[in-house]
Amino acid sequence: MSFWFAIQIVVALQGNEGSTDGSASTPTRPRFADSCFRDGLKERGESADSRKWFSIAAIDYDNNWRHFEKKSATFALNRARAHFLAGNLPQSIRAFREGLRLYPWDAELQRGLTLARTAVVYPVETDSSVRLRPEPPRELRNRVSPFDLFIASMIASALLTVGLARRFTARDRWATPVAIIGFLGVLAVAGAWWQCEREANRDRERPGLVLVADAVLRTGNGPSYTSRIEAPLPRGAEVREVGRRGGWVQVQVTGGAMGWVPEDVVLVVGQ
Amino acid sequence: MSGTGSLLAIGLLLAVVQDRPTVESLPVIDRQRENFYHALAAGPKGVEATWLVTPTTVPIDGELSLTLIVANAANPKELVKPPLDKFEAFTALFQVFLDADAPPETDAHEVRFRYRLRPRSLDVTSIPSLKYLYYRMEGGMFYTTYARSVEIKVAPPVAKATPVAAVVPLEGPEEFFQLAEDGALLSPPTFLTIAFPILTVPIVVVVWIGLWHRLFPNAVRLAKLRRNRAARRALDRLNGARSMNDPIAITAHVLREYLTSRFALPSSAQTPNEIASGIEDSGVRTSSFDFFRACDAARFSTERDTGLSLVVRAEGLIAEWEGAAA
Repeated sequence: MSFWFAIQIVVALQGNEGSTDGSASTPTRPRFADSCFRDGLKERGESADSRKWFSIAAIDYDNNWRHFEKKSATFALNRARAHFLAGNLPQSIRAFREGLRLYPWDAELQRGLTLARTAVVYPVETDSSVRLRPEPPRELRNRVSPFDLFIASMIASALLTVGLARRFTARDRWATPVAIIGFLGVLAVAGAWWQCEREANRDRERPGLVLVADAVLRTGNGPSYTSRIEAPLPRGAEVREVGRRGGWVQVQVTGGAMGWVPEDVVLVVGQ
Repeated sequence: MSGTGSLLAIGLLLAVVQDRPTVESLPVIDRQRENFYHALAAGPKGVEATWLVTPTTVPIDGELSLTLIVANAANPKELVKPPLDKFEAFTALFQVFLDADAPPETDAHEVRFRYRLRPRSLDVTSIPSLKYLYYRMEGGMFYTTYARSVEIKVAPPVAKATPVAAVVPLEGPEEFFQLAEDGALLSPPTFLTIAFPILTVPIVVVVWIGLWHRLFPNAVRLAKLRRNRAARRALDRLNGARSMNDPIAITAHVLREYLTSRFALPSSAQTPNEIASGIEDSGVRTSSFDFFRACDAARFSTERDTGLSLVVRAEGLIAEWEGAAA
C-alpha cells in the first residue's frame, strides 16, 4: 500500500501532462489529481487513508496550479478543498485566496474561504487594534464580476446609442433622458472597473501571508524582541506583508497592529 | 481436680515442644554448610524436595511459575528459601524473581517456596536440578536429596496483534467532500471586451443617422420643421391628437393656432373662407380652405370618420407651409 502511495507521489511530483491519457495537449484540469480526490472521497470512512489520497491530490493540484496557464475557479476550489481535507489548513486558505485573486467574484470560493477560516483557532480579541480574524471578502470585486460589467456595458451602450440616435434623428422627447441614463450607465461601468482594478492593485502591492505554524508577533526582527500581542498568531492566521529584513517579515494584522514573524512560518499568497 | 489436669496438659505440651528438633541445636559451622537450608529430618522418612512448574511451555517473552516443595521436614518454620537468583545454574538460563511465601504452619507436612522464572533464550529446555541437604537427627548426619530437573519448552514469542487504530471518518464541511465539476469554461471578459460596446456607440450612432436620412427623407424634413417652435408645438399636439376622443376638432384647432402664430392669421377668422382669405392676405398660397371644409364635413357628417387621415393631412400642410415660408 505504501509502495503504491510512493508511486503516486512520484507521479504527482512529475506533473501529469501526458501521464493520464498520453495526449500532449494541455488538459483543462488536472485529471490525476481529480482521480485521487475521488479516491479520497471513497475512503472517507477511514480518515488516515482518505487523507493520504487528498494529500496526493493536493500535491498534484499545486503542481498544476503553478504550471497550467488555463486556470479556473473550479480548479482553485478543488485544490483548496483537497488541501483542507488533507489536513493542510494554511495551504487550503492560501489556495482559496489564490483562487479569489483570479476569480474574486466566485461565490463558492468565498464561501469555502469562510468555512476554512472557521477552522483557525483565533485567540480572544480584547483590543480592536490587534484583531486577528480577517474580514470576509466584501470588496466590490467580490460582488461584481467582469461578466456583470460586460452585460452592464452592453445595456448602457445600447441606451446611449438609441438615445443619441433618436435625439439626432426623430428628436423624440424621450431620447435625451435615455441617452443620459445610458451615459450614466457607461460612467458607472467605468467607475466599477476602476475600483475593481484599484482593489486588485492594493492586493498585489501588499501580498497576503498565511501562517503555517503558531508564531509570536514580535516588536522587532529577532527572537529577543518582546511580543507585540500576548497570544501567538495561530496556524492559518492571515496577515499582510509590509516588508522583510534578515529572515523576518514585517506584517500587519487585520486590526492594524504591526509586528514581525520569522520568514519560514509564512506562505505567500500568489507566490 | 480440673486445675491439676490443666497443669499436666501444659506440662506435656511443653515437653513435646521442647522435644521438637531445631536447627539451633546444630553447630554453627554445620548450619552454614552449602546447599543446607536448615531442613531437619526426624523419624524414618527423609526430607524430599521437588519442583512444581506451571506451565511447562512458556513463550520466550513469558514467565513460568516455579515452586520448590520441601516435604517431611521436622522444622518447617525454620526452612530457608534457596536463593535461586544467586545460583549461576539458574541465572544463566533465567531471570529469577523471588516471590513472597506464606509462613508455614509449625506442624506443616510440606513447605512451598515460590519463584517466577523468565527464560533467557529459546535454547532453555529444563529447570536445573537443585541439590538439597538435610540433617537427620537420629544419625547426626547430613543427607542429600535433589529436586529433580523438569523439562520445559520455550516457545517463540507470540505475535502480538497489531493494535488497530479506531476507524475514524474524515471530518470537514460537507460541501468540501465534493469534486467541483467545470461548467462552461468561459474566460472572464477583459477590459477591452467590456469597453467594446461603449467604443462602438459613436460609430453606431453615425451609421444610424446616415441610414435614417437615406431611408426616411420625409421624416428628415419633418424633423427640420420641428426646429420652428410653432411648427414643433403643432406637430407634437397633432401627434397627441391621434389618441384623443375628437381628433378632428383638435386637429382643426391646432392648425388654426399654428396659422395664427406663424402667419399672423386674425383670431377672428373661424370659418374656412375667413381662414383662407386671411392666409392669402399674408402672401402664402395654401390649400387650407379645402382642409377646413373637410374638417367641418367630417365633424358634422352622420358618417363618423376617425379623423386620422386629417391628422396626417394637417402634418403635410404644415410641412408645405413651412416649405413655402422658407
